[in-house]
Amino acid sequence: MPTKKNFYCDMKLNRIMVLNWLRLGLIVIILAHYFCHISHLFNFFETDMKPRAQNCFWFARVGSAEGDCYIVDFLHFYSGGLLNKERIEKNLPLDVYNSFLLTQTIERVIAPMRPIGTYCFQYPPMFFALITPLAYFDLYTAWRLWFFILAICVVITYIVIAYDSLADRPLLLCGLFIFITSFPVSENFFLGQTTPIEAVILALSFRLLIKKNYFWSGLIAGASLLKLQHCLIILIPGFCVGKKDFLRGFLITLGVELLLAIIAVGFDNIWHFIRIIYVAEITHSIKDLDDIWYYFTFTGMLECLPWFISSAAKIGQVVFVFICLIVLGAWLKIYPTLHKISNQSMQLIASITTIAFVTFNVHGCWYDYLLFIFPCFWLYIWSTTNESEYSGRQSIIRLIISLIVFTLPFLFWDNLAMKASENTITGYQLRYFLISMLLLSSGMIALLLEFKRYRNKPLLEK
Amino acid sequence: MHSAKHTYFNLYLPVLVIILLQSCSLTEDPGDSLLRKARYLQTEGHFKQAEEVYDKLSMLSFKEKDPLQLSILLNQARFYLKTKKFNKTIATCDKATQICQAIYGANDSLNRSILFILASAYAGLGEYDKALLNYKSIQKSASKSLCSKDVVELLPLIKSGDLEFKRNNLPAAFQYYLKALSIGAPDSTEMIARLINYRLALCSMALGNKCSAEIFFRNSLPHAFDHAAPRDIIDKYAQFVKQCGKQGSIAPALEESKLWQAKHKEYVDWQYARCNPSSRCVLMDKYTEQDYYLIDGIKDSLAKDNLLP
Repeated sequence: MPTKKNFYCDMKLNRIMVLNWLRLGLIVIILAHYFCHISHLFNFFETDMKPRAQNCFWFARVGSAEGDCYIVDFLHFYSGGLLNKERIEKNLPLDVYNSFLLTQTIERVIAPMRPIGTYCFQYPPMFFALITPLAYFDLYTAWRLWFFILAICVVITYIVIAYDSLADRPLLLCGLFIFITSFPVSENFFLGQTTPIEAVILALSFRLLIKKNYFWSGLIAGASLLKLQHCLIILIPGFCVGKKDFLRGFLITLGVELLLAIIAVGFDNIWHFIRIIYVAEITHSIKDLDDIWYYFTFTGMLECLPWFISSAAKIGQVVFVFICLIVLGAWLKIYPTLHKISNQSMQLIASITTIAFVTFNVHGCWYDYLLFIFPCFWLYIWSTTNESEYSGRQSIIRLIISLIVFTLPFLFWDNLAMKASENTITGYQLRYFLISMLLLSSGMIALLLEFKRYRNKPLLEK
Repeated sequence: MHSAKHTYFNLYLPVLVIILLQSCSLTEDPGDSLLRKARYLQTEGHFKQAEEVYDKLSMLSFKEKDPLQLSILLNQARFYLKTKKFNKTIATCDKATQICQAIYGANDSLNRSILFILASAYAGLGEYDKALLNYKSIQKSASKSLCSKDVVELLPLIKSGDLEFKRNNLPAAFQYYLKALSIGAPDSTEMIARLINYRLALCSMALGNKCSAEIFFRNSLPHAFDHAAPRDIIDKYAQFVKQCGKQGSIAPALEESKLWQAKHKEYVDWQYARCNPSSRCVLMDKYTEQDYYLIDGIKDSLAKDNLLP
């Protein structure tokens, strides 16, 4: 004789099965739809990018017969390394942060071509310990080495985030392939940007924070200062959750970094770094850095709209400060409450704060969207586990969230590409922002559902 | 013991703070800010004021072997080249060569930049053989480059082609341009590929080869709204097609012209509202357009002297 309880249990199992199959079906459709984009990417790499990297026209794009070039970020780093190498080898008292010397070094690499405008290095001095060895190779070999290092960073980032789930769900490794071939990640490889290095630091530090290894988390989080604009993603949760232990680890790394910086660039250049940050970011004396319309952040989007051309930078800065306060509030007030009722509390709050920091950053580009791997993966895991603890309506919402976060890497390919009818990047910027807001909303709904799950428990137990 | 420690601390702390503040001057180096000012004035077309600032920069006393001095000299040489003060350009280049050799050595790749400026100055003075010799020396040094050989060779090839074009040695110019196109333009949408194609089109036209001229001209046209080119480029193409007697191709060319002009204008207006006049994108558009006009100028001067067939 089936009891009422058994009847509800059977219904719940059926619902879970139906939802799982439905999700699998939809994921297969999405993958099939984007398969040709993945093949295009490999084709582009093999037939277009690689030959141009070999003859170095990938790094310096000439715009006139006088030799004026646009420079790819990697050439910028390579030249920074070369300048520091000269300083060490010839014992010259060089300011490695001097924009004219850096521009001159770029010119030395690509002469008789020359970079258009002046270039300015804003990475902390310890970064020179990474880029100076590159100068011992020619440009193409150095780029291949850098590409390899970035690829390793991307793989480690994914495995560190997914480590706990991989034992039960080995198919999650397929996500690594999607991650590597998604637009922001491939752009990091092609341009040689440093966001994958920052991502691996954040991934390791977050993992240790989740495992309550606060000292070691702080120790690794100190390295996140490599990319100053993204370090708050880990430092705020670290200091709020890990407190003294985290601070101790962080201070030790800071000390090591300072020593490394003195060894890599010399004592004087540490002050030159502080000065260049002040000159570039506070006084805005270097006008070459003032174009913010191509930043793929809230500030960049505002600048692209006709109403905020002159005030976008200021509004962006105010909003960023506001976001920092909200994030601080979330880690100090919401996290402790959620932590008592959920084993995914840190992942959920960190998902929301990471999206907010990437989207509302005052300094960011499309390749920084690589950091969306954190919210995407964590929200996907959250939306596909503990199914039995949610009601029918909540399960449907979770299914939608799982599909949104699964589709996001693909959305960066064609849905965000420039349309043939578009003459400016305003629409492109708006789409980036709306997708980020969609993900942020998914994160917030996930947070609310996690609280509701706690309320569901007594009902479900009855 | 405890109080002694405190005394040491109280003594050392202000000293440390003073040393730190001394080392950390937040204002930009005077040489740097003057050079930045000179560059801005130059890009905004205030040549007289820019020259005054460059003169002030020359007065600055530098330590021996200062790479910043080399930067100033290179910028100054380019400024003189732009303002067509060729003798001053050559003198500045000579100074820059000495400093470059003292700092980086005789075989440093920066010498190629100096040789390139020097060659352009000789070309400006009408000393074409000297200019060609300098372009050849740049090409010879290609094997020592940190970059590829192609990057080093591209510009001397284009410029040698320009010199031969000026001298009405059209077959030689055509050969130089063709070689430049083969190494420097794996992707036809690249700006430099379009510029070389434009040169080839005008050269083919002067040689009387209308068929290949039409193909090169078509390849030199902008494809997308963000490609820089003179506003009337597609109209010129339509006129050229008309001259070739290919009447059927004019209508689509004019249609395309109107569409590109409208799109490009909208893009440029949108972008320039958000950039300062010395922004990279603004400067690059300007230089690309100037390059189209430069080759037009060579063709027009040949036509004026009745040297073209």
